[in-house]
Amino acid sequence: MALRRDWVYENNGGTCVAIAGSDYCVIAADTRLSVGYSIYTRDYSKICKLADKCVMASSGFQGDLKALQKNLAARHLIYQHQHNKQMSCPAMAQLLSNTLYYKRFFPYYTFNILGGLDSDGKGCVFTYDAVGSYERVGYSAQGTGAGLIIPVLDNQLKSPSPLLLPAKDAVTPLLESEAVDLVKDVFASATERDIYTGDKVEIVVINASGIRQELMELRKD
Amino acid sequence: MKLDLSGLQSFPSIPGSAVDDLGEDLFAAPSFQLPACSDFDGFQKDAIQMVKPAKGTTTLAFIFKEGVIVAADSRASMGGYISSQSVKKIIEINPYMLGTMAGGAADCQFWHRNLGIKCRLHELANKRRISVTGASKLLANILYSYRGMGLSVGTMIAGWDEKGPGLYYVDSEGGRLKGTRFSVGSGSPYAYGVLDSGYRFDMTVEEAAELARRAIYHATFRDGASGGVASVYHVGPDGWNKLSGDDVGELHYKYYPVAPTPVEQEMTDAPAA
Amino acid sequence: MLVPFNYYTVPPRQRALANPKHRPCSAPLPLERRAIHRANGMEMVAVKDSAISENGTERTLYPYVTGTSVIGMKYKDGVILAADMGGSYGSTLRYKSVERIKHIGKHSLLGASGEISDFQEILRYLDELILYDNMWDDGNSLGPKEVHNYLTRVMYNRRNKFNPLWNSLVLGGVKNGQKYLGMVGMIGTHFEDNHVATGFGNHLARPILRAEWREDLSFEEAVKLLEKCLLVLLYRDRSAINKFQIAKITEEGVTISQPYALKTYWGFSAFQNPSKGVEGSW
Repeated sequence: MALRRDWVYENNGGTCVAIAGSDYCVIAADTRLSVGYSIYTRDYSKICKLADKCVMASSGFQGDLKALQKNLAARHLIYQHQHNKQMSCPAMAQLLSNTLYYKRFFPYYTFNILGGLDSDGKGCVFTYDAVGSYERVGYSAQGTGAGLIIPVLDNQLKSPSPLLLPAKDAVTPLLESEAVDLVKDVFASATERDIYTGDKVEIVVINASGIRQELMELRKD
Repeated sequence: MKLDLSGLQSFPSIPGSAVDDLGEDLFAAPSFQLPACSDFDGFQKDAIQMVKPAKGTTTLAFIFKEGVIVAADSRASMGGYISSQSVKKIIEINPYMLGTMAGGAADCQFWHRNLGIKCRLHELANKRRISVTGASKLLANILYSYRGMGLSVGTMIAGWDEKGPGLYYVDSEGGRLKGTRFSVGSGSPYAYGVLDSGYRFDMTVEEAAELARRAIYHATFRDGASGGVASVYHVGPDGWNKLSGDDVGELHYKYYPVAPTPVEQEMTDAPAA
Repeated sequence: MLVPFNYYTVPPRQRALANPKHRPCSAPLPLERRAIHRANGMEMVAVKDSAISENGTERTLYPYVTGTSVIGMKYKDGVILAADMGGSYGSTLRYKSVERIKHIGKHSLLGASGEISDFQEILRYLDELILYDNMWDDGNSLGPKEVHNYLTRVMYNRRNKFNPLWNSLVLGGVKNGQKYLGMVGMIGTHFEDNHVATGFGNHLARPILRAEWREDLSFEEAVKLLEKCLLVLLYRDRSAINKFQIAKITEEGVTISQPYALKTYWGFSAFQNPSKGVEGSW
């Protein structure tokens, strides 16, 4: 008899979205934590501040997700003690990739986005798969609502590919406030059609003046 | 006699309890955690099924008179979902060597980065750049040691070393082949069709780049799992150089220009009643 | 010998017994005896020792004696928990006075559903944890937040070893005027909320709690609300029995009630004739 192993994972759902601008980064996630058709809690924050200019949003299995976020936060603490500075966002991105890949044979069932500002102060978004392949992009969505949100973001924000030669500027043209409004819209829409997304959306905005957080109510059904 | 300083530990361990050994050692050298189940293969299959890592590709590389051409598309898919249209599938190992990525995106990214580190260490230890032969063997040996554990990598290592141009195909099943013309990935049959029919050893760089571009374009046209941007690199005696990156959607109109359809019959307004 | 200060060491024999890895009889049935050896001697691979690498077996993953739902909520002066006292052996109600709510240290209450023996083992871990913490005699004590976090680590690490503790735990407590209520699942899923319920309770009791729960509920109101939930569970959860314990924890301390029964009314028309008005398929 094949042993059932599916108990080691649970899908607690959730959706994360991030948009990078020329001098800001918006990163957001809903706060619903559910399993199957039932909801554990309507108020679970999936966003974790890792450094002054680096924030991570995750969805998937809550146990893995929290273990991963705590692991990175702890490593960042060690980094600060050793180097007396904050880790840059691209460095954190590589660290997250490696951390995920070291669990290649027993993966973290998590879908992550890392957002923040790079060392030039430009907004950056890194998007991952569960075993650590990653890419720097202008915007991204991960989690159960990603399939609903990405097409909308493609339609509104699609920028020239960074692989094109001659290169074309690929920064999202939106203003910070417009980007925040777009994030609110896509979450309201995803909530209409995805049972794992809802309750509230936590939006974090990172810019030169620091980190700001806001909450918006979503449908609770 | 040794001084016992265990009492000074900042985090005293609780003797003999479940409190010890909770979580991994953050200061330990990184290692792969293996699932503690008896059926490793089955678990691996299930887990990979669950996380659906990104895959699907067309990549190609060939040696010709002026060096090596390397080209690839840029699409990543998870099942039927296109997870990215802007993947960098040609990785720059060092200024004289390129690797291509097909198979699991994370597997390729991680092990190519690992190879890059090893090549640099070789350079520092031996005061000369590693040969393409050496680099490809380094990768093949690593992948072979993980054989059967579910890695999925199909790669070409292309570069210019002391012996001139070099090209190897390496995969996660343990294969390593030297050759002059390869294509890897789900779109490779289509790419081979174009490549084999158009290949000549004495092409110019421009002709070779155009052949590669056309091969990638035709693969993206017929293979659903390939698409995005066709990137073309050339490696010569002075190292690699990116020649082009074109959206295949626009290449389509280059290879199949929209010919103005001759009008067979002018329509006229219906006479007013 | 120079010693910075006095310290105590637990003799090795005791240590081996207390460590879960060396637990003599935790695995009910070893299923397969095949270890994975392919990882040995491989570059960069280090096998983390775990349940299998000791003897190449995998634990069976089925519970034996189980308890059903636990519900808990915050109220005006603290946190209140309720659970019945049944212990099911499959569909048999095997035990009828299982205490599934226990107090932990000075500030916490723990309620458990799922495998009873695993719960009792968790209690042994916690006893050790609290005792060790007490030993420092530094005036600090573990609060509910710390205990909840500890339980989270234990549950998650056991699932990582493919040898889970088959429980859903509810942890409530009060420390320094802060109320705390959290839950941990079998594989380490954890969260806090104003009210929580495990198992069937999440389906049947939480909708009631969501509708009627308030932060300023008095103790009497809180008990009434919990009893309403317990009654619904009693009617619709076949593993539930009519013998409950309710426990509260406040700044003053813990009170766990004596077992008692609720007054039931089985005269609802739907109970009298369950198939009335149902259209059959033939």
